[in-house]
Amino acid sequence: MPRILIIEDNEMNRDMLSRRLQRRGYETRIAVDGAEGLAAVAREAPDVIIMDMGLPVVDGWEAARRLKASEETCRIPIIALTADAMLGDRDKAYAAGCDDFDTKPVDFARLLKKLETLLAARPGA
Amino acid sequence: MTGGAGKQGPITAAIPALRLSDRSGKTNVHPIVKLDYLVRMLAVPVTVVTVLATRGGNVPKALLGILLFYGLAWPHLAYLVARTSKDSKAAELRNLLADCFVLGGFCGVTGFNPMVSIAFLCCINAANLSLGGIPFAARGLFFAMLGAGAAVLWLGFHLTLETNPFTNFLASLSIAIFMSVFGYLSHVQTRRLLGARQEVLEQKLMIEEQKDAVEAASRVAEEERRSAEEAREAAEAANKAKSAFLANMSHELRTPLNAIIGYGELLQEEATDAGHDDMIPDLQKICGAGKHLLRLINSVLDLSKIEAGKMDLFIETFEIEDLVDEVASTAEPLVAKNGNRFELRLAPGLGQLKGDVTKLKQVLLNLIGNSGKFTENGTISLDVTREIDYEGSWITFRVADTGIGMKPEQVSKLFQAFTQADAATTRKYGGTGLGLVLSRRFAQMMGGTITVKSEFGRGTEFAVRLPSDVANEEGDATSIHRIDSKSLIQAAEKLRVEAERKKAEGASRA
Repeated sequence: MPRILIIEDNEMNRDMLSRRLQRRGYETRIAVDGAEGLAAVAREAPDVIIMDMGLPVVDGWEAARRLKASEETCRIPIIALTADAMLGDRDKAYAAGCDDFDTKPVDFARLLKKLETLLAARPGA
Repeated sequence: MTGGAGKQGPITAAIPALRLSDRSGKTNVHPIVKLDYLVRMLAVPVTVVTVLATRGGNVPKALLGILLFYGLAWPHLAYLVARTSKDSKAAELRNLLADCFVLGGFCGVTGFNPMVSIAFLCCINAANLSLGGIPFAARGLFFAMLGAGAAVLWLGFHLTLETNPFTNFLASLSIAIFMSVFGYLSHVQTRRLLGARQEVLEQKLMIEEQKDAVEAASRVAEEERRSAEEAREAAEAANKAKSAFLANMSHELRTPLNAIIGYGELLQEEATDAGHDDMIPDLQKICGAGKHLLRLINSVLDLSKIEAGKMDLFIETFEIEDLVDEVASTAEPLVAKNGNRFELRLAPGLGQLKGDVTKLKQVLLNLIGNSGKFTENGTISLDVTREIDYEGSWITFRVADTGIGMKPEQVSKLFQAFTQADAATTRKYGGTGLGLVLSRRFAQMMGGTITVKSEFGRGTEFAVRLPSDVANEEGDATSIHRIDSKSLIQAAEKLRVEAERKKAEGASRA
């Protein structure tokens, strides 16, 4: 089953998202900040990353830039999540290299659809 | 007198020409003309009598003629000549030179009697110096000598050193008159000069004062400008703080809501799997309330952004049919809840629309959702047509229902924030009371309108009319952000360069 890395500092959101994805049969890994997320990717490359943008230590935009700058990790799709739907967040997320964008609270059905689309587009999927 | 025009230069310069009545168009008579007229009227008869008295009975007829002419006619003739002349001052100076010539001649005919000659020369000099300055006085003396010479040539040279008392008296009187007149004149001129100087000083002082006042005023203006600038900065800061507060509040409210809705849905799924069907309605209520709260937060945030001028349009070109298909597939389950049928009628060849697809979708879903709420076992339809008028091409979306309809007084309150048709409606049908307000604002931002027609008990129809090219309608207004791949690539490139620079900086520091 595809492996999804959830990088999110809010414990409830992380736990809830992870459990709901597991119910759909996805394998999930979790990280609580950008630095830990980058380490997790280096340890074991996931198929998709769902990442909050307002993260401590290394924020989501910086983490996305680093992942997209590296030859090994640049092909892992990233879905950016932000809590505020202020103008510019979407642009900033895309500019940092994220493949898709959604606002919290997550519409789970919509998020699943985005996941499926990105997974289907993977080379070799 | 035949004073050459060229020689008049220094003379006219000595007495400035006064042109007080130039503007009235009248011939301008210089004040010295009148002054000299008066002086001549007094002095000339005295002069004539002096000559007669000095010569005793010995007066040739020609001399008598000259004396009579000079004594009776000359003052008036001189005055008339000067008055009627174009340049009265120059004419008067010529008259004066004639006087000098005549008086010089009289010195000759009175045998250069010292008393008479001194009186005449004093008078000539006083008048000439006062009226024409040194150059003119010199010319006057020259003419007097000419006159004296002429008299000697005519009547022969002889000296009369003795004078009778009457001559002495007249000569003294002449001197007294002339000295008095020109002394007084000199006094008047001095006073005028001092007055003028005082006036200049006062004006200088006034200019200084005005300068001070202007400086003070400009200081005040500068202070006011600075305080206005400070006020503007404060207002901007307040506005920024408000925006930041809204963004933060939105973030802080959404984070727990995310958990409420997420766990609610998770629990629903788990309850279904575990067979706890009795719990599902309650869990649905939690999720429903959470989603309602989320919609409210979103609407308030949207409204605040519109009020602050921070709501931006994302203009893209899309197929109208694609949009309608998407709206219909989302709307159908909403509409079906109350046993309603959904009808979709598209005019052929609708083509494309250039506008903010997300906001348009929000508007249409809001209208269809409303219709679904207020209609039971009826029909809700969406008609889409394109029309062209003198202003351009328009797309109209009509959402009509066969629901409860509204009374005119309810219709009038429709587009006000937090005001549904009435309070009872809110209790019965729910809703945020912001949907229509936002819909109308979105339509206005895209250069369009939303209108409503309703009949109580029969149904309601909302019509959204938009220009088919929103970007063209709005021109290059700054509120429109065009999201295209090019700007994204540019932004990404900028960030990459920035990151590289930071990396290089870090490396050089290490």
